Parts: sequence; C-alpha cells; structure tokens
Amino acid sequence: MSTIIVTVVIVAATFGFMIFQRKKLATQYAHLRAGQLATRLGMQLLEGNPEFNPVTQSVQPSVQNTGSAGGFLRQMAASQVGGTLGEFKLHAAGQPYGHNAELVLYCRQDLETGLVQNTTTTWHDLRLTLHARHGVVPFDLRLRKEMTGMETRRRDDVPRMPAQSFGDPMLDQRYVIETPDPALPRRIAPALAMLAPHLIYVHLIGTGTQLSFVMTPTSVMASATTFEPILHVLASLAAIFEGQPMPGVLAA
Amino acid sequence: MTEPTAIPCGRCGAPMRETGSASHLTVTVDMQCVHCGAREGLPADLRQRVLALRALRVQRRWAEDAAHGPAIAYLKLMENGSLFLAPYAFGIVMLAATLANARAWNATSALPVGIIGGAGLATLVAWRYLRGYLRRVLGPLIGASPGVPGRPERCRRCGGELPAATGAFATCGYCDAPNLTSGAGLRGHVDATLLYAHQTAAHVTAAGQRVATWFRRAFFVGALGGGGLAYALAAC
Repeated sequence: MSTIIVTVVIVAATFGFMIFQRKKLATQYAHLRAGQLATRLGMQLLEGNPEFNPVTQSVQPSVQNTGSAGGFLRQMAASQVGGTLGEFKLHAAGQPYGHNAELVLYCRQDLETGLVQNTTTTWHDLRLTLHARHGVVPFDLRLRKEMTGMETRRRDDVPRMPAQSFGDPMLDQRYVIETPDPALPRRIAPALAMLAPHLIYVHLIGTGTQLSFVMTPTSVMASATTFEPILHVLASLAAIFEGQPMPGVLAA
Repeated sequence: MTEPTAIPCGRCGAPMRETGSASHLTVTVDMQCVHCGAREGLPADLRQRVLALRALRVQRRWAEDAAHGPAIAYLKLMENGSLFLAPYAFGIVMLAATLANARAWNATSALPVGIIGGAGLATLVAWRYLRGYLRRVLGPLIGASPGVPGRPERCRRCGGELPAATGAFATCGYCDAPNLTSGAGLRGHVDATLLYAHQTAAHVTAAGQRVATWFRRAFFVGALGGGGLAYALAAC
C-alpha cells in the first residue's frame, strides 16, 4: 500500500513541478503570444491560434504532440503504423514601416516506420518577410560560427553565390555574406547594427523583392523574442535598396 | 536643431498634438490642434523627423537590451538558487521515500544517496561562489554602459525639464505644452550602446560558459566524492 502511495506522490510531484514551470514560463512570455506578437509587428493574424506562443512552444508537431492527450495518442498511432504527425500553420500579415510584410510559420511532419528505423520527414516554411518596392540584390547572410542545433538550412538546388567582405572586422568576424555584388555588404552594414550580438541564429536572405529572416524548426523559439528588431533590420535593408533614409536616421 | 520645437496649427496658430498611433511601425503622423480641433498632416521634412525620432526611441530600447539583457538575465538566473538546488532536494526526498519504504540500508542503497547528496552539496558551494563571481564580472559591465549625453531637454514654453520621451513628442509636466523633442545625442547614444554591446558580448558569453563549466565540474566531483564516501561509510 505504502509503495503505491510513494509512487503516486512521486508522479504527482514530478508532473506538478512540470506544470508549475510551464505556467511560469507562459506568464513570463505572455506578451509574445501570436495574437499580441502580430500586433507588435504591425500585422494581423490571418491564420493560426492566437494563443500559440512561439517562444515557449515548438512549431514541430512531434514536439507539440507531447503536450496534449490527443497529440500523444496521434504520436503513438503514427509510431506504430506511420503517417502524419501533424501540421502547424500560422500566418500574419500587415504593412509595418509602410511595406507589405508577413510572418509565416508552417511545419508538417510525417513519420515512416521501418523494420530497423523510423524516418521523420519535416516540411517547413518559417520566415519573417518584408516586401521591398523594388527588386533587391540577392544575398545570403548567416552567422560565421553557428551554434550546434541552430544551423541554418542550405538548399541544394540553389547555386552558391560568392562570399564577400564587409570591410569591417567586427562584422566579418560575426557574419558570412554571399552576394554577387561586392559593394553590397558595405551598403547594408549600417542596417545590420540592430541585430543584437547575442543572437544565436541569423539567416537573412534577399531575393526578388523579398527580404526574409528564414528560420528552421529549432530556431523559431530562439528567434521569436527578437522579431521586432529583426523586422526593423528588414525595413532598414528595404530602405537602403530603395534609396530612402533608414528608420531612425535624423536628417542633418 | 537642438531646441524643442512647437508645431503650430495652420488655421489658428495654437500648438498641435499628436493623435492616433505613435508607433514606430506606422508611416503617418496625425496632428490635431488643441484649440480649434483642426487635423493636419505634417510637411514631409517634419514628418520624416517625427518618424525618425519614433524609430530612434525604440532603437535605444533595443540597444540597451542588447547591451544589458544577457548580463542581467545571467545575474537574475543566479540569484534564484532554488533553480539549481531544487532538483537535488527533490531527488533526495524521492530517494528517502523509496528507501524508507524498502526498509533496507546497505552499501548499495547508500550509493545513490551519496551521489545526489554530494552533487547537491557541490552545486550549492559552486552556486554561492559563481553568484559572487558573476556579480563581480557582470556588475561593472552593466554599470559602465554609455549613458545619454547632454542635459535633459527643456520645455519651449516654460523652460521646465521635460520628462523622458517615449515617442517623438514630450508633454511638459509643468505647463502641459507639447514639445517635439530634439533627439540630439540620441543617435550617438544608440550607436555607442550598440558598439558597447558588441564589445562586451564576448565577456558576457565567456562568463556564462565559465559558470556552466564549473557547474558541470561541481556535479561530477560532488557525485563521485559523495558516492564514494557514502559507500565507504556504509561498508564499514
């Protein structure tokens, strides 16, 4: 009898501690729930759960499944026979800084069971995008030293552009930029100032008229707290490409 | 232009106040006359200035976050000792409950008690030392951050000191006059703070890594020492 009591107490204490920590975290980052985050970014939530918190909750269905009974059952069913683990969608759009911009968080995972191993396939489109009024010079900017588990994704079907230099030791030490225009890094250097030095994930892409901060499923949680300054950087980049003064630049 | 500026109404000449959203994300500046209620847009140069000031204010907040945020986060984390010690206390309680229930005490059952107890004790010692270490290293870094240069701005009407503005305009606390802030020195302050953030980031990261390394070492030393001691005592 006492063994049962001890087991129940241990299980209850463990789950109680987990729930307490989860609630504490949710309260701390309540201002970053999707509904409020979209407003802070000057956007409207068009699709997705406004209560979803990208700082405390993963966009990966396989991780989300562990947080609910229904998800847990789906995960268990998929692990037996294979199939989809789930799909996550969130879309916000608006006109911050006078530009069309959108936050897209899409992630889908399928599980294929095998005799000796299970294979999880992940499709994702996770980005904060700002549309410039003119075409932008293509570029690809990443951290020079990427953190383990926070590596940027490099598409195999897109040809690599030549690496260029900022001509600034601090920026060259921190970032790697690839672009066909050797003058571009110096032009955009002032816009990158607002990227905080403690960011553990950075991947900025310029292509067509789009300027995007592209994420991976594991980097969304680390990046979501800094979406506001990142959007500011994208707007500053757009201003540079359009020949306009960057936000925050006072006329002489 | 370093002095606060009035924006007079084009119809009656009374000062105008900013209405609507004063967010840095918007690109419009709506002004309304406090006297006759007329609504006007601003001339392009003035509008640009207001937008720039709005953006500068948030840039300043982000720059200060970048300069202090990680250091403050580390210090706050280390002030909360229960975060590091609660798991050991929890482990000991669970173990005690299990062992009391089993009513068996020998060298083998003493081993986990020694491991958890030793690791917990070593973590306690490491936490107390590292908390002081972080205060010594990160405290001065936060204190040495560049401040806003120059004196506080003054009201264009009464000369009273203006409160710290959160947007482009500041309302005088004495005479209620709306003032367009000058933003003098603000750009320089943002740039200096960002530079400071970049220069000190490596120190803050190094301090954080040192803390993590010492906690790891404390765990292993404490677990090995405590486990060995408990086993030896129980075997005697």
